[in-house]
Amino acid sequence: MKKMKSSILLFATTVLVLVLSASFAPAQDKITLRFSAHADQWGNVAAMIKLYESRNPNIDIVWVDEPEGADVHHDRDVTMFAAKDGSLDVIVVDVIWPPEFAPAGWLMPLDEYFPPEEQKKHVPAMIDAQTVGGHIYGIPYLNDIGNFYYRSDILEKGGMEVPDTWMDLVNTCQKLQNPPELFGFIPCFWKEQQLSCNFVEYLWSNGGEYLDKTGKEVLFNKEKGVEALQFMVDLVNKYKVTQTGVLSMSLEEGRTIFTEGHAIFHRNWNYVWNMAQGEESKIAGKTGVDSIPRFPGGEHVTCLGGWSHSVNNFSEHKDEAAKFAVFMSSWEVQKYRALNGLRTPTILKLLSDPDVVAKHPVYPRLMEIAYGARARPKTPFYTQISDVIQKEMHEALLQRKSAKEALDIAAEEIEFVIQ
Amino acid sequence: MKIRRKDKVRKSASIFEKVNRIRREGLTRKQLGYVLVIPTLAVIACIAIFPFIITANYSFHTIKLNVPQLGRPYVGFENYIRLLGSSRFIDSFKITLFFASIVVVAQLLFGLAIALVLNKEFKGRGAIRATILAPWAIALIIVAQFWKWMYNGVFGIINFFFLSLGIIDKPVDWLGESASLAISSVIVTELWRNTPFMAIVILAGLQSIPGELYEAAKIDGAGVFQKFRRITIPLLKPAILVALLFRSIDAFRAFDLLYALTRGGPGNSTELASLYAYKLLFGYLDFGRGSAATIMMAIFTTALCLAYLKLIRIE
Amino acid sequence: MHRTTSLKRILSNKFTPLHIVTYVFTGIFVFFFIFPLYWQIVTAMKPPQEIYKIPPLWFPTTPYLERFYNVLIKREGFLLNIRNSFIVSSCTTFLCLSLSVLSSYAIARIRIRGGEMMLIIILVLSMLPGVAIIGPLYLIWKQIQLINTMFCLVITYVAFFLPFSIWFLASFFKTIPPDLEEAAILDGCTPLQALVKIIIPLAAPAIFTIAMLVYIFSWNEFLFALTFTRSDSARTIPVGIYMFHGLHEIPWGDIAAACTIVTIPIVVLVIIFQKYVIQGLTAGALKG
Repeated sequence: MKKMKSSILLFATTVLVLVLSASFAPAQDKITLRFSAHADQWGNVAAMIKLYESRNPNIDIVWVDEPEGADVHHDRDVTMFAAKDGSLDVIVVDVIWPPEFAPAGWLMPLDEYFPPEEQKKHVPAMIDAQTVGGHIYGIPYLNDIGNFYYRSDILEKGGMEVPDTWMDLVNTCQKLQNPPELFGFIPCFWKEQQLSCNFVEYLWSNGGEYLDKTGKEVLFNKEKGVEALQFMVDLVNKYKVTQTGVLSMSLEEGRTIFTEGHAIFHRNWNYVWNMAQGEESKIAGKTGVDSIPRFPGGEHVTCLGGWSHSVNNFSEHKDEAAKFAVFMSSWEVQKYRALNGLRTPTILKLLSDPDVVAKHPVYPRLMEIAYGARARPKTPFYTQISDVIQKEMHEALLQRKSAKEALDIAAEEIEFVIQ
Repeated sequence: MKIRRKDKVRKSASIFEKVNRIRREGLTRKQLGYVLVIPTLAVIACIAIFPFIITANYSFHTIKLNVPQLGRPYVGFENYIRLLGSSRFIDSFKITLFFASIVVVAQLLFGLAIALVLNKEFKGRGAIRATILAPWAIALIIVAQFWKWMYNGVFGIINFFFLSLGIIDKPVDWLGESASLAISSVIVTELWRNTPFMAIVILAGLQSIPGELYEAAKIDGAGVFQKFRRITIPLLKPAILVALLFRSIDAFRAFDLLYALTRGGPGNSTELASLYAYKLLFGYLDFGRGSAATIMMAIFTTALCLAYLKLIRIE
Repeated sequence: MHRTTSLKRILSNKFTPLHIVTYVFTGIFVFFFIFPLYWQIVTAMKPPQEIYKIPPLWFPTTPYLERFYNVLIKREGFLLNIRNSFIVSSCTTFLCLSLSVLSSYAIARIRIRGGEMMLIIILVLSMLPGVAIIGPLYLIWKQIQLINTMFCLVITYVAFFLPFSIWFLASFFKTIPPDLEEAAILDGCTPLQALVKIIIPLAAPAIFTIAMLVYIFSWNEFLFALTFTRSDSARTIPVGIYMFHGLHEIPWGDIAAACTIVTIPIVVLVIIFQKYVIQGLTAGALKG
């Protein structure tokens, strides 16, 4: 009797001790800086970290990778900042986050480390997006814009040109598409940030505006905006040139349709170019990239995406963190990453650097398109605004509300928020 | 009341005399009982109660993390009033109710049917039982990823399955074509994932019904349906009610599945209350309103829980 | 007491419409539950070019097993994630069981004052949506420097699964007739000894059921694991698999392979335990 009791106790104690020891072991070994960045299948980040550590032997960098999708990533970072948690020293931020994070005091101003002379070397729109209240909060390293991809072979066979206006696109699609083997156009209308990116492209290319200059008045529900949204609704319902599942497919799912050869046109970020030429793609050598179509009377614009390195304002090693952030966005690293992977650099000269262009002949064209890139509105409420608009846009796309109604409702709610 | 010796005295008693008595003679049975629940209470207090109180506190303030200049002023019930007046919040509650009730009823019927089948002995029963449980053992987030792939409008297997059977004549966007279709698809995934649990609980209940009752009924000439109505259902009631309780609460709290499958879309037709609350908190950075939303959810689930408990008591 | 319907009986009644319906229904639901699993395994084994074929292939032309190697070895973190899930689930189950057995005994047998009330309160508490406490809880763990450890996950999970375990076990304990216990105490056992030697063996099936449930719940939990962990050395499997997503790429093949790897041991576990549970329930629960 006693034996069983005491052996149980002994067992229990052992296990408890194991639990505590196994789990108390902090998940880091020698920390100095913790760097959070995206998963990187080419080993570039690891290589660059090693390089930095060899040049700065007193610094150890621990790389923490982040989950998919800007939204999840955003929510994770918010949890961290809300707890004033400085455990991640250097982080990557999406181009729309600084206006949100900076006023809350979560990012460290980097003017000292990233002065205007350096800033000039990067894509202007990205610098603009990272600047809030006159200070700069992020050092760009990944350039991304919305591109219009097309199948040159199909267009050639069909005797059609690359569409200039949206109606050209519709006509070409209706002529050449053949669902379900070949869809016309693959945008991204799922209920996430991508929908907003798509929407602004239609809005801006129609000459419309999102918010006014003060950022206090909503302009997207004016006539130009309604036209833009109505066109999107028509794309799906009236002209029927989009894929089955256009409202529920994520960005990647849509991209897959294109690289498997089942679509003529596709709107997506820079990475698709290289994927399209990759070994798993069925359309290598048969694609082209151009600016996104416009409405008559409007201009070719594109939505600015991209990522920057920022420093957590609660970090305990802000100086070292800032220097590391500068390094990871430097010419050296960006060139390395361009030559060894698919991340488009933000430093303008690199986009026309001979080594880089040799590897990625499409970059100069991307640079041209990039000059037409515009950043989304810089308000601290952008995530909220974007979410409201997405919801209402879906109502319109599902044809449960008219385009005007949807935008008006969205406008009302948003105006309440930004007052 | 028995007095017994105990080796370790962990509780620091309230009264001097009690302490002395314990020192001398050991804990009484009742006192032992209290000691045994202390660790449990401690853990629950720290992990569940304390943070909950903090959240409740937040709900009475305006807390917008992205506008810290506002400070954190006390605003009383303003967050609650705004939420109750917001059609989006009311919608999310309605959707949650709809989703939960359909899911629970369907799981009950489906689970009962499966349990009845599994109750009979036949070859391969063990294997079937085990594989039935497999869906329920997989993480929701993975289930969601997977069903999303199957529901895919262009590559998904479900479209092809129904197309080849002739049930539909062109591919369907299961998660986006319309609000009702989206909710239905989500419900199907939820059923796939959680019915096994219901089935197993009911099965355990079925197996505890003594066989003699059925034998006796048969001798009395009762048919299959009569046996079912008079014996099976009444004796199963406790098991069913408990299973229902947990499944309903889970259905109300459903989050992982919907987050990965639809993010609440299309529009907000699959935005359950938990999704909306999460969005308020981490998307909009509005901890005031977000906390209020979660508190309201908690109040609702509490009321539901108490109602169920009353029902179980009555049985 | 087994409730059996022998095969002979079924066969002799095989033309009853009820039986036909039963067989058809069985066929349908087995298919419904198994097909997605089959599809997952098939997708994991398809070579990359075949995953996106239209119309989809029901079967890979050649099994592509390299992917399993990729997932386990090339993605260095994943093996760690598996280890972590093991540790977290085992510890959670053990702690949860220990605490809930003790507490259920106190409430159901010793009948401490306020026991019923306690039961109701903690049950109601367990119904809290996770979203309601995740923010403040993160704060607390961070304050005491335990964020990104498996410890904080274990304790959080224990707190969440305790109420259900206690409720379940307490209900079960109540059905055990008190005479056995009283006899043991008369013989000179202390209450704790009675608990260990009489109640626990009698309640073994219920305890096993709870153990299985808690293990699986903690294995699959996602929201807290995602929020509280930062690096692979503390991450559990659901978050690990979720991290397979790159910035733009969704490797469906890899995800399917990882899921397959992870699902199979769980299914095996479930097979082993469920036999025990059902047998135990029928044998043990009907003493009177």
